[in-house]
Amino acid sequence: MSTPKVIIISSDDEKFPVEQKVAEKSILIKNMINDLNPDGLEEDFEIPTPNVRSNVLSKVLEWCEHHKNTVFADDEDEDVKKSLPVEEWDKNFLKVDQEMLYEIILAANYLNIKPLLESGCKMVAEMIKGKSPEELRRTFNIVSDFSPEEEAAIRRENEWAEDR
Amino acid sequence: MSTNTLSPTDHEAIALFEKAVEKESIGLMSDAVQFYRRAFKLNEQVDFLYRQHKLPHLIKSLQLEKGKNSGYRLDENKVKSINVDTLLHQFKQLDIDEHYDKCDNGPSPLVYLPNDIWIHILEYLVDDNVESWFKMSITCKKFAYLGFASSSIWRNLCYHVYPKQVYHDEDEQIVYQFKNDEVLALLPQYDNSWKKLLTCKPFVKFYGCYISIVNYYSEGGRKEFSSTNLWSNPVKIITYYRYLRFYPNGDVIKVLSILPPTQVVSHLSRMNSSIPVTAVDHPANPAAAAAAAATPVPAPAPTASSRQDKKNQHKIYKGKWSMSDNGRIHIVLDQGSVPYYAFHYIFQIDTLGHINKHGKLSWLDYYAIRKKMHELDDDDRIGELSQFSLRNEKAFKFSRVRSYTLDN
Repeated sequence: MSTPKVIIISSDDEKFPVEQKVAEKSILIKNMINDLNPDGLEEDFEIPTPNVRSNVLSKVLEWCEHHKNTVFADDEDEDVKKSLPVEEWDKNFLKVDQEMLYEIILAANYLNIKPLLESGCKMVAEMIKGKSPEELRRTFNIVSDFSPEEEAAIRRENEWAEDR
Repeated sequence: MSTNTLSPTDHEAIALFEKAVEKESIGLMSDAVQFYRRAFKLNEQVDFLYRQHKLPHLIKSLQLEKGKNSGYRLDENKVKSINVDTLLHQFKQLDIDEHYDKCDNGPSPLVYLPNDIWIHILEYLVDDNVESWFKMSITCKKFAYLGFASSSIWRNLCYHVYPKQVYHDEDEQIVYQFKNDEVLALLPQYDNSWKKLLTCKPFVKFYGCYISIVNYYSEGGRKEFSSTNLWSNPVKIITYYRYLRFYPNGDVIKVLSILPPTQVVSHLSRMNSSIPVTAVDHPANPAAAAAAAATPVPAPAPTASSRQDKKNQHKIYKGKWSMSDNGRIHIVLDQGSVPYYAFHYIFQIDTLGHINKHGKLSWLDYYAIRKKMHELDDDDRIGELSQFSLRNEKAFKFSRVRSYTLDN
């Protein structure tokens, strides 16, 4: 008999059979597997993810597959986590349009895949770095909704804090 | 006078006017006056021409970079009457879509990420590229609320600042630094507000340098045999600069120079022993240069040759700094411009123009103490204190320098 698989079902009912190890990159899924199978997996186990569409789920599982053997730094070690740049593979993997990046970040957040969430957030931070406020408004297609006086008051109250 | 077409002379006048503005902005008053004079000689309405022909372009390019509100004539009373904390909290319940009828396709989906994820992204920026934190937070109300009203952002800002400060105890015997949990322990004194802590507790900034620009007038001598012209008394404006750069390990470096910031800041590093002087580095007014070289060196004047003087002008002196709990900085330069003196500078960290918190160093005291030069030195002046006048000195202002790191 082959090893039992975890079958993850997207919101649009597509089934993704993966190795347990791959699925357990998601702490949410890992906890569900352990809670419902205290003696370990004996047969294929289906898990629905009603918040994640198939195109996003396949992308997220591609990431889990690639990182199935990666040991990530301790979650508690805030300093290490923050100082690390986005890993090269993740960087290329996350070179997607803003819509997909948004979906991946949301999925990583929901499925509790911390390292993917971190990489996604860092990618957004990279998009922001080095741009002027007006360039940022164009990047995210937002408009300044301050009155001139509000903007001036907010600037005066906060801008000094970037000098350190 | 036609206002639409400019003659070549007008262009020249405007160019001189711009040059004058530039010189004035870096404190070179003598040069600025010269350029203003030449500009007004060519066209006595040059200021009007400048405003009419140059300012609209400047404002336009400013708006392209900073947005629609730049270059707007502000109602100062209105700005001052705004309570920013209250305002930011009004942005909390904002429906972002309401504001985007002007945009095609609506905002990027990323804008709709949950607030806690956005705060996390902004925290990265605070750690990694603090300017970008500010620039993102000033884009619109939603991000102003997330970036400026989130306690965890201000906590990160505090953790970047206070553990790097070098403190001394009351008798300046023990020097110590805070750990993060010791910073946390300060919080109750500041109503448990990280923002209040950062706003109120003075700190030294490392990603830039502090510059003091001193301009003063010196009576010039009349030319010989020019006594017919008694009513005109030539005056020289002399400009010199003091530069200070601090390091979180307690090092500090000091330069006194006639060279303006553009020629100094990039070389201002403890790795260098002096600011390189090339032929082009000399300012336009040699008179001021000569005068500055002679004047700001505290008494007694060094006896070395004038060539040596010239070299010392650009030397980077290294010393140590530490500060009291309330932002009183004590700098000691053991190896200063006079070998047998240890120079002491005392500054208070202040707020610059009500806005730029902790961006100013005000002079409190400046003196030197005679050193014991070697074991057998029994000069009875050892330990003697010489007080220097602060009459000409101007406060230091902080300027950010992008190339600086914490230890370069």
